[in-house]
Amino acid sequence: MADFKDKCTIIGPTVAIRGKVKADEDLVIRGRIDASISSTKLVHVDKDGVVKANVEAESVLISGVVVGDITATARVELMGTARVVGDIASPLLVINDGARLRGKIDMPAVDKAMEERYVEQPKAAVQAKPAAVAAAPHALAAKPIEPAAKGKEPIKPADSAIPKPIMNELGTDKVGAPRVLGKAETPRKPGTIQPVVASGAADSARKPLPGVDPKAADKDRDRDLDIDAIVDSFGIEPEVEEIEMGGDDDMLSIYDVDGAQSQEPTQVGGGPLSAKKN
Amino acid sequence: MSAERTILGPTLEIEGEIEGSEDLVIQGKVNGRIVSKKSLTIDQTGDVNATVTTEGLAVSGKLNGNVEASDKVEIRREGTMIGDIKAPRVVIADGAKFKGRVEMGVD
Repeated sequence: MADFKDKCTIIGPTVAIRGKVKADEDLVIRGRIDASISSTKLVHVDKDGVVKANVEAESVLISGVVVGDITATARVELMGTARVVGDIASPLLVINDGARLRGKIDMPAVDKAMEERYVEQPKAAVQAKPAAVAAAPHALAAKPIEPAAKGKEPIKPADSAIPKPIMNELGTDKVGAPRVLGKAETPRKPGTIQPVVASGAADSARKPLPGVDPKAADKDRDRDLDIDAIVDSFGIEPEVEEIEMGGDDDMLSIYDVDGAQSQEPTQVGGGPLSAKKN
Repeated sequence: MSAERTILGPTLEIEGEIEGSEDLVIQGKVNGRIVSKKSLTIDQTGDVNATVTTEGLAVSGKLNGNVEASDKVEIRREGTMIGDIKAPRVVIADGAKFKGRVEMGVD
């Protein structure tokens, strides 16, 4: 029996589980799980693994398909083959090139950092406190509205004036108070994550912002159905390629932070070429 | 690694349904239903409260539930089982605890 004492459970490719799974050990999933997973250790969804439920764990590593929300206390990593539909909440997130994701990303550390920034920069920013924990997205959404509600003061100039400094903060960090930046960034490790976060936050800000944008919402819903159906059809061997992320450029920007470098040259190269021809 | 076997470790708790076409070893807890096309082993630390349909079953841990096996059911020395067994071959080892009915399909 010592044979079985491995501190790791591997759920093989022909195994399907429905219901609920709880684990205090590493879990490798190669099969199909329609069960909410809660683990105090690592959950690894392998290439052939399909999980259609929420995942809660210390850390989550995904190379396969996950349809459901992912909550990690330590770290989430999407490998290049990962296909994820669902929201991710984790203090640390790595999205590797090639991974596909549709969903919101929530990194508590970012919330805190954004909060601090708003608190320390009350002048240009809102007088009204940004909804405390809600942080960036809501704060962004709230700002243009708040002044408008308060009076008939110069609304439009305010609108255009306020977002700019924020964008700078997010993007270049030139305007933001350096002290705050330092605080915010020390706890996190790789620099690559920062941009992911920033664009992720910006992205989620973009969606709620329009407020009245039923088209986008409908699209999302449709895609939801599609992907569910596709994942259903995977059965045991997911043909991951079939998942369509629907050429959504906004989405791409989330994980193309790294890819942007490799893409830019091709585009830039394209310009001169066509110019020469002309 | 690629061995056609899934081991559900001792800290694993599953509520619901497990279906598999490979050997399954259960060391943790399972509540619900298990359907296996191959063998199912309930290890000493295993605690299963489920209806089991399988080809072969070996119980070294605890099993509470009815079993239908197309080949063989074996309750080992350390095993405890409460429930009915329906299988062409049944082995109950010396020291095993069992309570239930056995049907070996004698035609």
